[in-house]
Amino acid sequence: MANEMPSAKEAFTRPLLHENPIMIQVLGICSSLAVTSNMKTALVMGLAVMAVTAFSNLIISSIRRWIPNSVRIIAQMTVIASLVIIVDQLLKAFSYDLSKQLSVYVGLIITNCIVMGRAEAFAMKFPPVLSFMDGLGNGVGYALVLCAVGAVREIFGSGTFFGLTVLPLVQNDGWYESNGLMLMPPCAFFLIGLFIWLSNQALKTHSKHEYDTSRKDAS
Amino acid sequence: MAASKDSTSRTFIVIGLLCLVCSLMVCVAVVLLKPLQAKQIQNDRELSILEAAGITVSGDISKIYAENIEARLVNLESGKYVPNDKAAKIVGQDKNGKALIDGYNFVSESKLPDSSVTIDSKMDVAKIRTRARYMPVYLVKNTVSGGYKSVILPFYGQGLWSTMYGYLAVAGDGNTIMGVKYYSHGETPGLGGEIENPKFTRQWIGKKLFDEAGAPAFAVVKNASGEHQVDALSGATLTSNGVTTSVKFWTDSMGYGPYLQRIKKGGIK
Repeated sequence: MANEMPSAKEAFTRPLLHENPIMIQVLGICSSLAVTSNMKTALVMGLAVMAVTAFSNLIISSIRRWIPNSVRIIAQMTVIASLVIIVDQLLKAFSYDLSKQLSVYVGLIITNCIVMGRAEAFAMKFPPVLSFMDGLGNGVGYALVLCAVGAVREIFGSGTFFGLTVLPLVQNDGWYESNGLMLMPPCAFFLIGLFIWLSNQALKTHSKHEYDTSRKDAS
Repeated sequence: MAASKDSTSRTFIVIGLLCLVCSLMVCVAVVLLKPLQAKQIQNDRELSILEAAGITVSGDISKIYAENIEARLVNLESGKYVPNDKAAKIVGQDKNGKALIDGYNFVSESKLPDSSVTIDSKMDVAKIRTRARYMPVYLVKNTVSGGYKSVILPFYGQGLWSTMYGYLAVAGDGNTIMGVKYYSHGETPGLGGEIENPKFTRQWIGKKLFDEAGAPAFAVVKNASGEHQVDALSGATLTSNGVTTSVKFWTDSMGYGPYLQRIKKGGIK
């Protein structure tokens, strides 16, 4: 990332496609495998990550001048962890059924590289509002990919979309024989791989994409 | 500023303050949301029980639940109810002195040595190792002519990947199944996960738990026939077997056997 200050619009739109956290930076893969077997959980997980990245960026950026360098990761972690606990508690209070389905994965947002990565790479350098936009953009970028994977998996795995029947299943006297692989986590690997390839192909035509060998390829 | 913010004392002060603020935020969120969460958990449980009872819910869940369901605590060994004043000592009571049977956590109790019984490995077909000494049962009131229509028994057992938790509704003869609802499990979605599907659970209604000799006979098998069998889930043989063994364990002498015998003789009282 260049060190000159981006505009707020740029900070929001760049992570949507050209610097998408999942497709380009390949961060946050673990949770995107686990919660994308249907649209509802994918969307809620996307929203949860969006809220956490946006607000952690905002808070960390506003206190960045006071955070001592030697313990900055711990300070970021404290803020992120508190936000995740609050999001988890909110989910349990207002959407118990979904929080049951998401189980530990909401808590695991703490370890999601996207949140940590944005805090360290962006919020520590730039002012609060800009950081908030960057966090929001990254959250939306993550949610977009999650929903895309979720849509494919739910339609072909259970024949439904947001729980509404699209392809009536053989079990329920329909005609569609569901694809069991779609409901398994490994399937998300294939789909995300496919998305990464497609996005790399598509973006190549606009600009020569330079591979950064220092990027972290794990979640 | 850059030089002083990295000094040891500044580091301690900043991190200390940050932790204090963050923990305050978390505390406030947890305390404020606690009642809402308790309500959600209660609604979820009540909805599952009503579903097992075959009661369609529209409107206020808690009101319908209170009108239709009465919770009692059963001593599994003797098959008798624990009087409500004694039950209050076992399960705790609310501020009006009413026993909190509804929220009794029999799963965590089954792990405490004082309130649980170890199951002999020969009897342990459901592979749960220990069970609570007391279990809550939910009597479904007959709102028209009084008395009770059926009783709902919480039961659980090992499936293929996970422990499957459900409610089994049994009629007043202590033998006929009136409904079943699995409310928590971690089986494969689309295969074993179909135990939730109403299409599968509807088949259970009217089936019998015991054969003429009074031994548990209910089973989930391929090509089911007769009044004791339900068609297995295709592609989920091990989950189906797990369902069979968990029903077998809980209807046998270590489970609700003595209680169901008592119902068979005297009806639900």
